[in-house]
Amino acid sequence: MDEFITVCPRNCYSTCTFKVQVENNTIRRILPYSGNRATPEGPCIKGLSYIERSSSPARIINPLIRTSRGTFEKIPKAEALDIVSSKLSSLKEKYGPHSILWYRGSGMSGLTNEIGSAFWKAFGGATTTYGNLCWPAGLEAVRLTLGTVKHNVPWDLPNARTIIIWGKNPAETNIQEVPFIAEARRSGARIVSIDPLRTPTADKSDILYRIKPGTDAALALAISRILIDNNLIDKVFIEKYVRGYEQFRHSLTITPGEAEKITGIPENEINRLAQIIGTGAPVTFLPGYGLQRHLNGGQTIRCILALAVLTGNIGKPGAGFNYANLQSYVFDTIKEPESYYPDNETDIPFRRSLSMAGLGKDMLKIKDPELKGALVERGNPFLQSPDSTLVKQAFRNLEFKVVIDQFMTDTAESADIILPAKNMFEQSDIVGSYWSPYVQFKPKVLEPPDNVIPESEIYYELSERLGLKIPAEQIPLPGNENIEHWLEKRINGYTQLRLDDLRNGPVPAPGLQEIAFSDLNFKTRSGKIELFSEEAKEKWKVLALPEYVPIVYGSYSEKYPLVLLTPNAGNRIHSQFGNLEVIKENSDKPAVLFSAADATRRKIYDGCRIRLFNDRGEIFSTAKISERIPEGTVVLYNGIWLNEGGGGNFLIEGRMTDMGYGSAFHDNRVEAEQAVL
Amino acid sequence: MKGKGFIFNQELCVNCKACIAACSLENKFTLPVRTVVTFNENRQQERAVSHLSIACNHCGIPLCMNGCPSKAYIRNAATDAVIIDQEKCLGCNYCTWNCPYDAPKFDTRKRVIGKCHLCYTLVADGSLPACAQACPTGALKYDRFERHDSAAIPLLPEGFGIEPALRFSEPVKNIPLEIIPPDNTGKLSAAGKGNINSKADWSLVLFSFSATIAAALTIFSFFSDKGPGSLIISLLSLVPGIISLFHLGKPLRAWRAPANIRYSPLSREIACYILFVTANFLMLFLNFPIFRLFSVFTGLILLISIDSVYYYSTGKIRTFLHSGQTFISALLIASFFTGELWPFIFTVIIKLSLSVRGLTAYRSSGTEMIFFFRLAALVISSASLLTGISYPALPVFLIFLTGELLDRIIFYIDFYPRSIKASLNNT
Ligand code: SF4
Ligand code: SF4
Repeated sequence: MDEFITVCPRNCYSTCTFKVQVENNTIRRILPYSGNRATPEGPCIKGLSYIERSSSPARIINPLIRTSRGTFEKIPKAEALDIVSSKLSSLKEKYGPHSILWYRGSGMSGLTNEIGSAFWKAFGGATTTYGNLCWPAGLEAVRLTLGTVKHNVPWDLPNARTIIIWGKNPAETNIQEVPFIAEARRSGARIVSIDPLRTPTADKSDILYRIKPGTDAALALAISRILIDNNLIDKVFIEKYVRGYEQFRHSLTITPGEAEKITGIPENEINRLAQIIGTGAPVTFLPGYGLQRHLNGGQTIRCILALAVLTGNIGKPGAGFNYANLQSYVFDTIKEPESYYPDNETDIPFRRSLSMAGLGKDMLKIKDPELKGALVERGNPFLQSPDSTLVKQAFRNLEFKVVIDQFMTDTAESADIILPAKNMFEQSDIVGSYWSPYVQFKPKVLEPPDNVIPESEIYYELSERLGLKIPAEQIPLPGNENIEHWLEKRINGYTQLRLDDLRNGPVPAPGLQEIAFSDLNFKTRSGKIELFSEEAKEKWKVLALPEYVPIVYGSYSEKYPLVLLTPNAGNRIHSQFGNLEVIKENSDKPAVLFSAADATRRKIYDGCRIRLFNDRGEIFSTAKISERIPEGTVVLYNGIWLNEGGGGNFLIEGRMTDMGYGSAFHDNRVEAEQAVL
Repeated sequence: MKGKGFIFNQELCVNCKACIAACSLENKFTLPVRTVVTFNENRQQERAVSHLSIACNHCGIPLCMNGCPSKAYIRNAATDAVIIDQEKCLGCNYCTWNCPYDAPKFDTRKRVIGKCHLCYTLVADGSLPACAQACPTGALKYDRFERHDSAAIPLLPEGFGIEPALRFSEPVKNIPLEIIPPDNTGKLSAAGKGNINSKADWSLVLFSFSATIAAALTIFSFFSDKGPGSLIISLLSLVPGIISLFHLGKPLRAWRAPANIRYSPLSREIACYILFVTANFLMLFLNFPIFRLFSVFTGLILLISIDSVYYYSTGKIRTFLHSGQTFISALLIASFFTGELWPFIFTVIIKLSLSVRGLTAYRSSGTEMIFFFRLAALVISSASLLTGISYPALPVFLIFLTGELLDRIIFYIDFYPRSIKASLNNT
């Protein structure tokens, strides 16, 4: 049995390192690798499920073509590539390259994903998307304030005396953080959760502030005011490193009493929370991403971040604002979030006129040329984009759709041609993390099935067929040795990073600061921490100061009283993993979660079939009454496939966050009733 | 007992079930042998919520192994693991009653018991069991420690006294979560999902009831000429045996049942039953009083052995005596048939008082009607017998027997084998 060190390439905080044991070209065991200080106990249940996932009978291992009867049929690899290349070139000839949408999701990370770009550039361009479904509002908020998006290493957390988990649920979405929180708690730290939901993480906290969804900024601003009024701030730190303190102080008009009305948290408790933050240094804030999937998401993150700034909880052990740690993203010329913005790629032939948030709407609207074809890789926009109905309709209008995937997702079901995707074990790659500070190598440990070729080779084959002369530095020749060669070249120039070292396990990112901002160097326009940011105002047309902007729910809010939240489920990464047996066996059945009060009012009982609806659409599901849910809110976890009832995106309007071109998933209301069968 | 075992840190476990997944991926068991049980599952505000990942604790005093009639359990010498040999298992489920941690589980597809085997080949090689290896928070570890039984599982009253290879790494704190603003949106009822299901089935009701009647008839025939003849009694004594086969997951392996006569009450029950049948058939040929007495004697022993099988139950009305026990019922039935007044009155008084206690315990539980019917049947039939009115008319006879059958059903309604879930909810 062979053993390799590898890394999980999912869109997940943890980016776990683990060992795989391989026998007869199958994954036999997945074991922890203690050399990664952030994930020493090993991967989560999803990571373990790769044993099943990598040899699942449900995997697509042959190119498929849609027949006239609407079913799929196997075709030889060469034939599938012939069809795709001739279709692409005829669309380009007839309507121009921008009639083709190139859609990429976040299904697998790695440097080799860049190879697609080279192909499309040589092809003459394509229409692509801007923005992101996940986290850019918060990234932009942090960037505007601190200049760089980074935080302390995960293993610094036990140094905190106070941990404020604000809208994050590591117990389910970043489980490797749980031991660090527990260690801090054991040595006396106070653990506070602020969340509308009683998450499994809240169950492990001392206090849970059950805030109304979308009102976090109001709470943060009220606390800022209390901190200032009670002199619980770090005056010296502010003086030296902060820009705009005075303006900020004068802008704080929300009193604790008003905040109580907005947030639902009693005034005296807001005062206590301010005391906890003001006297609990070092304080680490663990903000989540759901928090900023709101229309006011960017400003909300700026308001909360201001608490860390006022109290001087930046640049010290045990302190900080752990939104995202992009220190290992060393290879990007333009880093997130700026790489999401349309104006940053004008020099290349991509036309980025479709927003991720409003994908369906934008696809239907776009002219000159209209969209005629699409190639989708690493993504499942049917389920994961807001306004799913519009997205489906827009895809249905296209003449030709290619989907590259490992499984028959709802998006793949709509394709004309499906090309099987490689899995994570079938090609070497290099992966960064947005939580831990490591650059990691992911080796090829399995031979792909006969008719599966990695995406880089799909692009190679297509460029050959289309006669595009693309140099091997951009699209490597087939074969894993060539990919490794390409990777080697790609990381050339970072002296600390050599492929051979990376093979032995994770390597800390070059220039890593274990304690972020310990040099007190802030790469903002002014060189200081910016509470007041002209850039914010210029770029996003928001106030230069952090501000609470009440959520405007979709129209008919009277008719639809329940706020719909679609957080990430513990056992899925968006729509991945839910189709596996080992995951199904160990998860609750997909259901809409209700508070007892809301359920009773609607004569909905545990296990009853329900219809969840608003003006955008309806879905049918099962009700579950849960103590986790506050009155006035319903929860449907993100990533539920159509054959399981479908996800919340059928009810979610495609609206953008205030900054960063993110998606405001959590600002929709719905109504529910017992379904008549 | 020294040795290795599971060390569990309750502060770290978040109920992610990676341990369960790792187990099933490693062992390809057809059912999940590990579970995570949650303490305070309904999230009542006064108490903390916590979890316990649990499978088999490979106890120093393994109740599963001791109780197994078929000697299907063995201890692996290299690792101290308690392992089930599925080829020997009868599927009688007795171990699921005996184990207080719910470790043995009936596999409905294979029709035998499945249970954690400690990944004994991995452990013998110096690796960890898959579950402890996989736990991503480090909540579940496997290491060396001294087994102190009473401190084994602090959430449970006193442990169970059987030296489980399981220990908590820290004392349980149970600091409830403070929720602001406090939750007043209406709580789920504390009862929630209710207790575990009674693990008995109809074949057990009928087996034990038919055995009761058969034993009662031998007494009847011994004391009265009106009793049925030896042939009928012998044939009747076969009925419970046939019925009991329906209870087994693997009826063809029934012959193994008396294998563990030394330790297993169930083996003893089966041995007594075989003795009883033999005595009755002997009577066919040797119809002397001494052999008839022998058959009465084996019948009573059989009933005592049946009653002792249910020793570990923790029902609401369990005491040393339960009105549905086969021994008392057989005495009542025999005295009813023979018409011996004083023994009858004596057993009726015992039964009546026990039944009234049962009714009080199960008042407004949804099942109280069956307790009413049971009492009514006893009162009506004994009134008829005592006053001599219409006795032994068929309706009275039927009412009486129905009453006794109901009593046996009640016995099973109140039958709760020990279980960690029930124990957690009661602490
Ligand atoms: S999904 Fe996340 S937590 Fe799970 S193994 Fe992958 S990186 Fe680790
Ligand atoms: S893997 Fe660990 S944390 Fe997860 S349920 Fe099992 S014991 Fe608990």
